Amino acid sequence: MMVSLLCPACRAANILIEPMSLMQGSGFNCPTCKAQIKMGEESVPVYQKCMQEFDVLAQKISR
Amino acid sequence: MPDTNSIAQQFTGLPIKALIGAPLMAAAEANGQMALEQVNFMLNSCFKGSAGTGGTNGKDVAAAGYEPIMITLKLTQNVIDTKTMQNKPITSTIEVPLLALIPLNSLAVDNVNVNFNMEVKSSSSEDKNSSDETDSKASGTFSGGANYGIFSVHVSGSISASSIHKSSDDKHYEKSQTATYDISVHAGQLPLPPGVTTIIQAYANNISPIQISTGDSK
Repeated sequence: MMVSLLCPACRAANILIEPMSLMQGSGFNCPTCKAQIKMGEESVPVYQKCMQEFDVLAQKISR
Repeated sequence: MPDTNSIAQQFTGLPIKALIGAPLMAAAEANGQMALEQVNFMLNSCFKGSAGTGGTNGKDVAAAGYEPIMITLKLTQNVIDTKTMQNKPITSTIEVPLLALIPLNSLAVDNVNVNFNMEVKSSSSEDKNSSDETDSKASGTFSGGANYGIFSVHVSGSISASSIHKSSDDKHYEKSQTATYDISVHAGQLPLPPGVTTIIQAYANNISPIQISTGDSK
């Protein structure tokens, strides 16, 4: 599932982000200004932990 | 003959309220449970307690408020240097709330179908067949003769009779009852509640790039 984030550079379009790819270091471009965002390495563990907890929640709900 | 009153009585006493209301109540409870789980996830995983509270649970945290956990993103933009007229990438860092990067969805039961069909069939038929056929049989022969001079008399005869009696009586009565009770529940994704959407939007709108003061990114 994608997450959309308002482009911090141009604020004219949303950047579509795939959480797993973001966590693995992929960059995502703004369709308007072509600015790219990537996750800072220091935030990867925090984001990874949260996504794991989110997966647990999703599995729990789907049951 | 089927009694229509007795057929109607088949429907009386049915717990219609329970049959229809129970699945709806279960769906509402499931929705509440799912919403609670998601709220707990947001508060425990995407927020931290305010400084000094030392945790994410308890009345202290609730009273002090929650502070969003921030994620650092690197933003790379191409900027044209007006002096050299060359394309130069500039990297900035931005902090985004973790909440804005989680694919939150409001999963809930969005469709409940309760189908209750009950069919009571009753039919009867009666066939009577009766036939009388008389065919009596009895046979006998007799013969006799007499001679009177030059005359002779000879008498002979036979008689027969038969009798058959057939009778049939068919009765047929059929009764069938059918009851089906189908419940289909579908859970789908609903739009995020306006409150959560507003919070995420507020965070997203306040993202401001901060340029890294490293050598090559200036």
